Amino acid sequence: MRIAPRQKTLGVRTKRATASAALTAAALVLVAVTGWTTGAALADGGGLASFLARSPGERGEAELAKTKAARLGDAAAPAAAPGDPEPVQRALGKIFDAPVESPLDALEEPALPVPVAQVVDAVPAPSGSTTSGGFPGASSGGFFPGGGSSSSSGGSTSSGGGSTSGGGDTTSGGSTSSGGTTTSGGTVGAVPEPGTWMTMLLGMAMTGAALRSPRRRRGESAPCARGA
Amino acid sequence: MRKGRLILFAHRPLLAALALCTTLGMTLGGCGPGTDARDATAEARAQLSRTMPGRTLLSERERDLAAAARVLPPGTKSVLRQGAMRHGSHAWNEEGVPPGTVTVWVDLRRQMASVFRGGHEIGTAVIQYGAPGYSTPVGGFPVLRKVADYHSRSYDAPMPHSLFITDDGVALHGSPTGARRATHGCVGLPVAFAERLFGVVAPGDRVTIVESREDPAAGPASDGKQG
Repeated sequence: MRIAPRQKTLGVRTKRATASAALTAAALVLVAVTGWTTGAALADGGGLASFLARSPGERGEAELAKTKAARLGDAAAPAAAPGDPEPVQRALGKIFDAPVESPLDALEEPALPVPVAQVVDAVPAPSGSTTSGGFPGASSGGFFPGGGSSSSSGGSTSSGGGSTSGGGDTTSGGSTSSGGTTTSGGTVGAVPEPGTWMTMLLGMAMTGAALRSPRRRRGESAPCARGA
Repeated sequence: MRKGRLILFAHRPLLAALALCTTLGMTLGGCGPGTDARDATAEARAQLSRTMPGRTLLSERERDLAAAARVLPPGTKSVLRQGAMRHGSHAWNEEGVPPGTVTVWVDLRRQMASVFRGGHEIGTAVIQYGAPGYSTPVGGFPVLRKVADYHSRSYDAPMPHSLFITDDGVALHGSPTGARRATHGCVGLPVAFAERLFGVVAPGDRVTIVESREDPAAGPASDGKQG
């Protein structure tokens, strides 16, 4: 009586196991048979399989476009010699030996109303004090119009870059006795006009005065007094 | 006793499966080429390895599959035993191969060329073929003429050991090799291989250029014309 249920379960188990075994066997047989039909022909050791395996494969789309600088040859990427002090130019174009043109030269060009020689003649000989202020070559009537001017115009500050003389302005006709030499271009003067100079000086003077004023001193001392 | 055996199998399903499989496999195996045929094949292989070393005999099935996929010409008997090859490499072995018709089989897809004499492969090489826009013609061509040292006028390029196959200048010839190289429509061969090929091919011999199908085990090829 006690054995009966056990036997029953055993029987069920046996059935299940047999079924699973049969299934596995069937699957294995299937694999074996299909393998024999298709695989065996191409199995390793088979002539066809090894024949197919010897190919390097298909040529890809991008295969022909692949490049490496090193493989392009020396012409494309010349390797610098180890001890070469001068690097090899690659990216830039030609280097020219001709001197670079100065933008000043370009500005100098505009047609002078009066030939330079004439102007030079017209201009009085520069005094010692003024020449120091001008740029070299300015006296030739170029960029700095008042380069060689005299003190006659009254400015005579001598502290500025050029001398005063009312250079870039207005006197379009040139030929003035005041050494105006100049320049049709007119409006834009590189050297400030005397009035401007005066205004600037006035401003600086006022600043200085303000700094030195007793009121400011008092103002400064006030916080100290308070703090102390 | 019977129940006991069942239980034994039940506890060892794998064993049962193996037993079944073996039995069935043997029965089904009998339906195949048969033991006699297998013995015959083995004997043929043994004989082949004695008379023509370095090659593998193809089974009938392999022959059919290869021909269907246009990997090999129909009626191929044996192929060279050769490992993987790279651009520029070639193999040549005509030891013991009897005289016969020489055919050249060029497979553009696999980038391979093979030379057969009487169905036995005697040489093989990796090839270069036409670049996009200069496609190599596909089909069967007779060798029209042989020029040992040709120089291309169109491309100002040397074409050593040229075997011309078309009237418009397509040839099999020696060429620089490399995976990144292509031709203007010719079939470029390693120069050493081209030289040997030049030696065995006569005008009138057949050159077949194909694009084989990828999987030889999957039915007849769609492309590639038999000329």
